Amino acid sequence: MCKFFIALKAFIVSFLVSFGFYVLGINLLVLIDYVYIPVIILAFAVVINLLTLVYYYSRFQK
Amino acid sequence: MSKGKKIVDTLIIFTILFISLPLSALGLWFTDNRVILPGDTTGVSEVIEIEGASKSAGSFSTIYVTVFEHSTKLQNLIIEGLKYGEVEEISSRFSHISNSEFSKIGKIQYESSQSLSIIVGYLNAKYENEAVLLDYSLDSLAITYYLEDGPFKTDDRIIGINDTSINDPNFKNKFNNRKPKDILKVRRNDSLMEIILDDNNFRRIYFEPIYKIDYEKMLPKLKIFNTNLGGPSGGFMRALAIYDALTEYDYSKGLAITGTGTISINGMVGPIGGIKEKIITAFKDNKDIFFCPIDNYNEALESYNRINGKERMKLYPISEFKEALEVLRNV
Repeated sequence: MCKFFIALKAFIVSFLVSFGFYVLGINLLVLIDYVYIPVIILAFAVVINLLTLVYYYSRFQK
Repeated sequence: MSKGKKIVDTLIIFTILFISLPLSALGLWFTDNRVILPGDTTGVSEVIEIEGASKSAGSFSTIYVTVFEHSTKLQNLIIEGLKYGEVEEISSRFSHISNSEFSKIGKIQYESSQSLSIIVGYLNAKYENEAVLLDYSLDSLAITYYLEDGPFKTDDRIIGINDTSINDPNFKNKFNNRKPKDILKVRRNDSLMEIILDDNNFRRIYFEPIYKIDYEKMLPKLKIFNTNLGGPSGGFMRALAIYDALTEYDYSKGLAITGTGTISINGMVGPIGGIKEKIITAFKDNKDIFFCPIDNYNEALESYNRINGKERMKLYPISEFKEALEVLRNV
Protein backbone atom coordinates (compact mmCIF):
# COMPACT_ATOMS: atom_id res chain seq x y z
CA MET A 1 0.00 0.00 0.00
CA CYS A 2 1.39 3.39 -0.90
CA LYS A 3 2.32 5.82 1.86
CA PHE A 4 -0.53 8.18 0.98
CA PHE A 5 -3.23 5.57 1.56
CA ILE A 6 -1.56 4.37 4.76
CA ALA A 7 -1.53 7.96 6.03
CA LEU A 8 -5.14 8.50 4.89
CA LYS A 9 -6.33 5.36 6.65
CA ALA A 10 -4.47 6.26 9.85
CA PHE A 11 -5.84 9.81 9.66
CA ILE A 12 -9.46 8.60 9.29
CA VAL A 13 -9.17 6.29 12.29
CA SER A 14 -7.45 8.93 14.44
CA PHE A 15 -9.99 11.56 13.39
CA LEU A 16 -12.92 9.26 14.24
CA VAL A 17 -11.48 8.70 17.70
CA SER A 18 -10.88 12.38 18.45
CA PHE A 19 -13.75 14.07 16.57
CA GLY A 20 -16.22 13.79 19.46
CA PHE A 21 -13.76 15.50 21.81
CA TYR A 22 -13.28 18.37 19.33
CA VAL A 23 -17.06 18.78 19.11
CA LEU A 24 -17.41 18.67 22.92
CA GLY A 25 -14.62 21.25 23.34
CA ILE A 26 -16.17 23.65 20.80
CA ASN A 27 -19.66 23.22 22.28
CA LEU A 28 -18.29 24.07 25.72
CA LEU A 29 -16.08 26.89 24.51
CA VAL A 30 -19.08 29.08 23.65
CA LEU A 31 -21.00 28.09 26.78
CA ILE A 32 -18.91 28.48 29.87
CA ASP A 33 -16.81 31.18 31.45
CA TYR A 34 -14.10 28.77 32.60
CA VAL A 35 -12.28 28.75 29.27
CA TYR A 36 -9.60 26.41 30.54
CA ILE A 37 -12.03 23.46 30.65
CA PRO A 38 -12.83 23.45 26.90
CA VAL A 39 -9.21 24.31 26.12
CA ILE A 40 -8.07 21.26 28.09
CA ILE A 41 -10.61 19.10 26.24
CA LEU A 42 -9.46 20.48 22.87
CA ALA A 43 -5.81 19.89 23.79
CA PHE A 44 -6.76 16.34 24.83
CA ALA A 45 -8.44 15.85 21.42
CA VAL A 46 -5.29 17.01 19.62
CA VAL A 47 -3.11 14.64 21.69
CA ILE A 48 -5.45 11.67 21.07
CA ASN A 49 -5.58 12.57 17.38
CA LEU A 50 -1.78 12.69 17.02
CA LEU A 51 -1.08 9.61 19.14
CA THR A 52 -3.56 7.46 17.20
CA LEU A 53 -2.29 8.86 13.91
CA VAL A 54 1.33 7.99 14.72
CA TYR A 55 0.36 4.59 16.17
CA TYR A 56 -1.72 3.48 13.17
CA TYR A 57 0.62 4.99 10.59
CA SER A 58 3.50 2.94 11.96
CA ARG A 59 1.29 -0.15 12.34
CA PHE A 60 -0.19 -0.01 8.83
CA GLN A 61 3.30 0.34 7.34
CA LYS A 62 4.37 -3.06 8.67
CA MET B 1 -1.98 -10.02 16.43
CA SER B 2 -0.29 -9.45 19.78
CA LYS B 3 -2.32 -9.02 22.97
CA GLY B 4 -1.22 -5.37 23.31
CA LYS B 5 -2.46 -4.47 19.83
CA LYS B 6 -5.77 -6.20 20.55
CA ILE B 7 -6.27 -4.11 23.69
CA VAL B 8 -5.46 -0.89 21.79
CA ASP B 9 -7.88 -1.83 18.97
CA THR B 10 -10.65 -2.62 21.47
CA LEU B 11 -10.04 0.70 23.25
CA ILE B 12 -10.13 2.60 19.94
CA ILE B 13 -13.35 0.91 18.79
CA PHE B 14 -14.94 1.51 22.21
CA THR B 15 -13.94 5.20 22.12
CA ILE B 16 -15.29 5.65 18.59
CA LEU B 17 -18.59 3.87 19.19
CA PHE B 18 -19.45 4.91 22.73
CA ILE B 19 -17.76 8.28 23.21
CA SER B 20 -16.74 10.02 19.99
CA LEU B 21 -19.73 9.22 17.76
CA PRO B 22 -22.41 10.00 20.41
CA LEU B 23 -20.62 13.26 21.34
CA SER B 24 -20.38 14.24 17.65
CA ALA B 25 -24.05 13.43 17.01
CA LEU B 26 -25.25 15.38 20.06
CA GLY B 27 -22.84 18.25 19.44
CA LEU B 28 -23.87 18.73 15.82
CA TRP B 29 -27.61 18.26 16.43
CA PHE B 30 -28.93 21.83 16.34
CA THR B 31 -32.27 22.19 18.12
CA ASP B 32 -35.04 24.79 18.16
CA ASN B 33 -34.00 25.81 21.68
CA ARG B 34 -32.03 28.66 23.11
CA VAL B 35 -29.64 28.52 26.02
CA ILE B 36 -29.70 31.45 28.45
CA LEU B 37 -26.64 31.88 30.68
CA PRO B 38 -25.82 34.40 33.42
CA GLY B 39 -23.95 37.38 31.98
CA ASP B 40 -22.70 40.55 33.64
CA THR B 41 -23.72 44.08 34.57
CA THR B 42 -22.82 47.12 32.48
CA GLY B 43 -22.68 50.58 34.01
CA VAL B 44 -24.90 52.98 32.07
CA SER B 45 -22.02 55.46 32.11
CA GLU B 46 -20.07 52.94 30.01
CA VAL B 47 -22.53 53.33 27.13
CA ILE B 48 -23.94 56.84 27.54
CA GLU B 49 -22.27 60.04 28.75
CA ILE B 50 -24.13 63.29 29.33
CA GLU B 51 -22.15 66.49 29.10
CA GLY B 52 -21.90 68.34 32.39
CA ALA B 53 -24.15 65.87 34.19
CA SER B 54 -24.18 66.02 37.97
CA LYS B 55 -22.27 63.06 39.32
CA SER B 56 -24.40 60.53 41.18
CA ALA B 57 -23.03 59.15 44.43
CA GLY B 58 -24.20 55.68 43.45
CA SER B 59 -24.43 53.87 40.15
CA PHE B 60 -26.98 52.71 37.61
CA SER B 61 -26.36 49.60 35.59
CA THR B 62 -28.08 47.26 33.17
CA ILE B 63 -27.70 43.51 33.16
CA TYR B 64 -27.13 41.30 30.19
CA VAL B 65 -27.40 37.55 29.85
CA THR B 66 -25.70 35.44 27.21
CA VAL B 67 -28.11 33.78 24.81
CA PHE B 68 -27.32 31.06 22.25
CA GLU B 69 -30.09 30.56 19.76
CA HIS B 70 -30.47 27.13 18.13
CA SER B 71 -28.25 25.50 20.72
CA THR B 72 -27.09 21.92 20.19
CA LYS B 73 -28.52 18.92 22.01
CA LEU B 74 -25.16 18.51 23.78
CA GLN B 75 -25.26 22.11 25.04
CA ASN B 76 -28.84 21.65 26.28
CA LEU B 77 -27.83 18.50 28.17
CA ILE B 78 -24.79 20.16 29.72
CA ILE B 79 -26.76 23.23 30.86
CA GLU B 80 -29.62 21.16 32.25
CA GLY B 81 -27.18 18.81 33.97
CA LEU B 82 -25.12 21.58 35.55
CA LYS B 83 -28.20 23.74 36.32
CA TYR B 84 -25.99 26.63 35.22
CA GLY B 85 -28.53 28.41 33.04
CA GLU B 86 -31.82 27.82 31.32
CA VAL B 87 -32.88 26.03 28.16
CA GLU B 88 -35.90 27.60 26.50
CA GLU B 89 -37.84 26.56 23.42
CA ILE B 90 -37.84 28.93 20.43
CA SER B 91 -41.46 29.48 19.37
CA SER B 92 -42.25 27.29 16.35
CA ARG B 93 -43.39 30.46 14.57
CA PHE B 94 -39.80 31.74 14.63
CA SER B 95 -37.73 28.56 14.42
CA HIS B 96 -36.87 29.34 10.76
CA ILE B 97 -34.99 32.48 11.85
CA SER B 98 -31.24 31.99 11.58
CA ASN B 99 -28.68 32.85 14.25
CA SER B 100 -27.39 35.82 12.25
CA GLU B 101 -30.96 37.13 11.96
CA PHE B 102 -31.46 36.70 15.72
CA SER B 103 -28.31 38.71 16.24
CA LYS B 104 -29.61 41.42 13.86
CA ILE B 105 -32.93 41.46 15.76
CA GLY B 106 -30.98 42.02 19.00
CA LYS B 107 -29.20 45.01 17.42
CA ILE B 108 -32.49 46.51 16.17
CA GLN B 109 -34.07 46.10 19.61
CA TYR B 110 -31.02 47.71 21.22
CA GLU B 111 -31.07 50.65 18.77
CA SER B 112 -34.78 51.17 19.43
CA SER B 113 -34.49 50.91 23.22
CA GLN B 114 -31.49 53.24 23.20
CA SER B 115 -33.42 56.04 21.50
CA LEU B 116 -36.54 55.37 23.62
CA SER B 117 -34.52 55.61 26.83
CA ILE B 118 -33.03 58.93 25.73
CA ILE B 119 -36.49 60.28 24.82
CA VAL B 120 -38.14 59.10 28.06
CA GLY B 121 -35.21 60.32 30.18
CA TYR B 122 -35.04 63.76 28.53
CA LEU B 123 -38.80 64.37 28.31
CA ASN B 124 -39.38 63.50 31.97
CA ALA B 125 -36.36 65.53 33.07
CA LYS B 126 -37.73 68.56 31.20
CA TYR B 127 -40.43 68.93 33.88
CA GLU B 128 -37.70 69.51 36.48
CA ASN B 129 -35.02 71.13 34.38
CA GLU B 130 -36.15 73.66 31.77
CA ALA B 131 -32.73 73.76 30.14
CA VAL B 132 -33.27 70.23 28.80
CA LEU B 133 -34.01 70.21 25.08
CA LEU B 134 -34.76 67.33 22.75
CA ASP B 135 -36.02 67.15 19.20
CA TYR B 136 -37.02 63.77 17.84
CA SER B 137 -39.24 62.13 15.24
CA LEU B 138 -40.33 58.62 14.33
CA ASP B 139 -38.06 57.39 11.53
CA SER B 140 -39.44 53.95 10.78
CA LEU B 141 -40.84 50.73 12.20
CA ALA B 142 -38.12 48.09 11.93
CA ILE B 143 -39.25 44.51 11.37
CA THR B 144 -37.71 42.09 13.87
CA TYR B 145 -39.28 38.61 13.86
CA TYR B 146 -41.04 37.52 10.66
CA LEU B 147 -43.25 34.62 9.66
CA GLU B 148 -41.80 32.00 7.33
CA ASP B 149 -44.55 32.44 4.74
CA GLY B 150 -44.94 36.19 5.35
CA PRO B 151 -43.78 39.05 3.12
CA PHE B 152 -41.33 40.65 5.57
CA LYS B 153 -37.65 40.14 6.33
CA THR B 154 -35.71 41.16 9.44
CA ASP B 155 -34.66 44.83 9.26
CA ASP B 156 -37.31 45.85 6.71
CA ARG B 157 -38.28 49.43 7.60
CA ILE B 158 -41.95 50.43 7.37
CA ILE B 159 -42.12 54.11 6.41
CA GLY B 160 -45.74 54.56 5.40
CA ILE B 161 -49.16 53.03 4.96
CA ASN B 162 -51.25 53.67 1.84
CA ASP B 163 -50.71 57.39 1.18
CA THR B 164 -49.79 58.27 4.75
CA SER B 165 -46.12 58.75 5.51
CA ILE B 166 -44.61 57.81 8.88
CA ASN B 167 -44.20 61.52 9.72
CA ASP B 168 -47.91 62.17 9.26
CA PRO B 169 -49.79 62.59 12.56
CA ASN B 170 -52.41 60.10 11.29
CA PHE B 171 -49.86 57.36 10.67
CA LYS B 172 -50.11 55.77 14.12
CA ASN B 173 -53.89 55.54 13.96
CA LYS B 174 -53.90 54.18 10.40
CA PHE B 175 -51.17 51.64 11.12
CA ASN B 176 -52.85 50.42 14.31
CA ASN B 177 -56.13 49.99 12.43
CA ARG B 178 -54.57 48.36 9.38
CA LYS B 179 -56.59 45.83 7.44
CA PRO B 180 -56.13 43.42 4.53
CA LYS B 181 -55.38 45.10 1.17
CA ASP B 182 -53.67 48.05 2.88
CA ILE B 183 -50.33 48.85 1.26
CA LEU B 184 -47.25 49.26 3.42
CA LYS B 185 -44.33 51.32 2.10
CA VAL B 186 -41.21 49.45 3.08
CA ARG B 187 -37.50 50.24 2.81
CA ARG B 188 -35.44 47.06 2.34
CA ASN B 189 -31.70 47.71 2.21
CA ASP B 190 -31.56 50.69 -0.15
CA SER B 191 -34.64 49.99 -2.22
CA LEU B 192 -38.26 50.98 -1.67
CA MET B 193 -41.04 48.44 -2.05
CA GLU B 194 -44.74 48.06 -1.42
CA ILE B 195 -46.22 45.16 0.53
CA ILE B 196 -49.93 44.48 0.23
CA LEU B 197 -51.32 43.09 3.46
CA ASP B 198 -53.53 40.02 3.27
CA ASP B 199 -55.79 38.14 5.67
CA ASN B 200 -52.93 36.01 6.98
CA ASN B 201 -50.28 38.60 7.65
CA PHE B 202 -51.99 41.92 8.35
CA ARG B 203 -51.98 41.51 12.14
CA ARG B 204 -48.79 39.55 12.67
CA ILE B 205 -46.18 42.24 12.21
CA TYR B 206 -43.37 42.23 14.76
CA PHE B 207 -41.55 45.53 14.85
CA GLU B 208 -39.64 48.04 16.95
CA PRO B 209 -40.07 51.81 16.54
CA ILE B 210 -36.90 53.57 15.43
CA TYR B 211 -36.72 57.21 16.45
CA LYS B 212 -34.46 59.82 14.92
CA ILE B 213 -32.97 62.13 17.52
CA ASP B 214 -31.43 65.46 16.58
CA TYR B 215 -28.17 65.13 18.49
CA GLU B 216 -26.96 68.54 17.29
CA LYS B 217 -29.88 70.42 18.82
CA MET B 218 -30.26 68.43 22.05
CA LEU B 219 -29.27 69.94 25.39
CA PRO B 220 -27.27 68.87 27.29
CA LYS B 221 -25.27 66.98 24.66
CA LEU B 222 -25.07 63.24 24.95
CA LYS B 223 -22.37 60.89 23.79
CA ILE B 224 -23.12 57.25 22.93
CA PHE B 225 -20.31 54.70 23.03
CA ASN B 226 -20.18 51.71 20.71
CA THR B 227 -21.05 48.43 22.33
CA ASN B 228 -21.68 44.88 21.26
CA LEU B 229 -24.75 44.60 23.49
CA GLY B 230 -28.09 43.60 21.99
CA GLY B 231 -31.73 43.37 22.98
CA PRO B 232 -34.25 45.80 24.46
CA SER B 233 -33.94 44.97 28.17
CA GLY B 234 -31.64 47.84 29.16
CA GLY B 235 -34.07 50.55 28.03
CA PHE B 236 -35.74 51.23 31.36
CA MET B 237 -32.51 51.41 33.40
CA ARG B 238 -30.84 53.68 30.84
CA ALA B 239 -33.85 56.02 30.92
CA LEU B 240 -33.60 56.10 34.72
CA ALA B 241 -29.88 56.87 34.65
CA ILE B 242 -30.35 59.62 32.03
CA TYR B 243 -33.15 61.17 34.09
CA ASP B 244 -30.98 61.06 37.21
CA ALA B 245 -28.09 62.71 35.36
CA LEU B 246 -30.31 65.51 34.03
CA THR B 247 -31.99 66.42 37.32
CA GLU B 248 -30.54 67.89 40.45
CA TYR B 249 -31.84 65.32 42.93
CA ASP B 250 -29.51 62.33 43.37
CA TYR B 251 -31.81 59.34 42.96
CA SER B 252 -28.94 56.87 43.38
CA LYS B 253 -28.26 57.91 47.02
CA GLY B 254 -24.94 56.13 46.92
CA LEU B 255 -26.53 52.78 46.10
CA ALA B 256 -25.68 50.32 43.34
CA ILE B 257 -28.94 50.27 41.40
CA THR B 258 -29.63 47.79 38.66
CA GLY B 259 -32.62 46.31 36.92
CA THR B 260 -34.10 45.27 33.65
CA GLY B 261 -37.11 45.93 31.45
CA THR B 262 -38.04 47.45 28.15
CA ILE B 263 -39.27 51.03 27.98
CA SER B 264 -41.99 52.44 25.77
CA ILE B 265 -42.38 56.02 24.59
CA ASN B 266 -45.00 56.65 27.31
CA GLY B 267 -42.72 55.27 30.04
CA MET B 268 -44.30 51.85 30.49
CA VAL B 269 -41.87 49.10 31.56
CA GLY B 270 -42.27 45.85 29.62
CA PRO B 271 -41.25 42.23 30.26
CA ILE B 272 -37.94 40.69 29.20
CA GLY B 273 -36.33 37.22 28.99
CA GLY B 274 -33.73 35.59 31.25
CA ILE B 275 -34.94 37.22 34.49
CA LYS B 276 -33.74 34.32 36.68
CA GLU B 277 -30.18 34.61 35.38
CA LYS B 278 -30.29 38.40 35.69
CA ILE B 279 -31.25 38.25 39.38
CA ILE B 280 -28.34 35.91 40.10
CA THR B 281 -25.93 38.07 38.09
CA ALA B 282 -27.03 41.23 39.95
CA PHE B 283 -26.64 39.58 43.34
CA LYS B 284 -23.17 38.25 42.50
CA ASP B 285 -22.20 41.77 41.41
CA ASN B 286 -23.18 43.17 44.85
CA LYS B 287 -26.08 45.34 43.72
CA ASP B 288 -28.31 46.97 46.34
CA ILE B 289 -31.52 47.43 44.36
CA PHE B 290 -33.01 45.38 41.55
CA PHE B 291 -35.95 46.71 39.51
CA CYS B 292 -37.87 44.08 37.61
CA PRO B 293 -40.84 44.46 35.24
CA ILE B 294 -44.09 43.60 37.00
CA ASP B 295 -44.86 40.99 34.33
CA ASN B 296 -41.69 39.09 35.29
CA TYR B 297 -42.14 39.53 39.04
CA ASN B 298 -43.32 36.01 39.95
CA GLU B 299 -40.46 34.40 38.03
CA ALA B 300 -38.00 36.91 39.53
CA LEU B 301 -39.27 36.30 43.06
CA GLU B 302 -38.86 32.55 42.63
CA SER B 303 -35.20 33.01 41.68
CA TYR B 304 -34.67 35.72 44.35
CA ASN B 305 -36.05 33.51 47.14
CA ARG B 306 -33.50 30.81 46.33
CA ILE B 307 -30.54 33.14 46.96
CA ASN B 308 -28.73 32.81 50.29
CA GLY B 309 -28.43 36.23 51.93
CA LYS B 310 -30.92 37.76 49.50
CA GLU B 311 -31.78 40.53 52.03
CA ARG B 312 -28.65 42.38 50.89
CA MET B 313 -30.38 43.17 47.57
CA LYS B 314 -33.92 44.60 47.47
CA LEU B 315 -36.25 43.51 44.67
CA TYR B 316 -38.92 45.92 43.40
CA PRO B 317 -41.56 45.18 40.74
CA ILE B 318 -42.08 48.14 38.40
CA SER B 319 -44.77 48.79 35.82
CA GLU B 320 -43.80 52.29 34.77
CA PHE B 321 -40.85 54.65 34.81
CA LYS B 322 -42.29 57.09 37.37
CA GLU B 323 -42.90 54.28 39.84
CA ALA B 324 -39.14 53.65 40.00
CA LEU B 325 -38.51 57.35 40.77
CA GLU B 326 -41.02 57.10 43.60
CA VAL B 327 -39.27 54.02 45.00
CA LEU B 328 -35.88 55.72 44.85
CA ARG B 329 -37.18 58.86 46.56
CA ASN B 330 -38.45 56.77 49.48
CA VAL B 331 -35.59 54.31 49.74
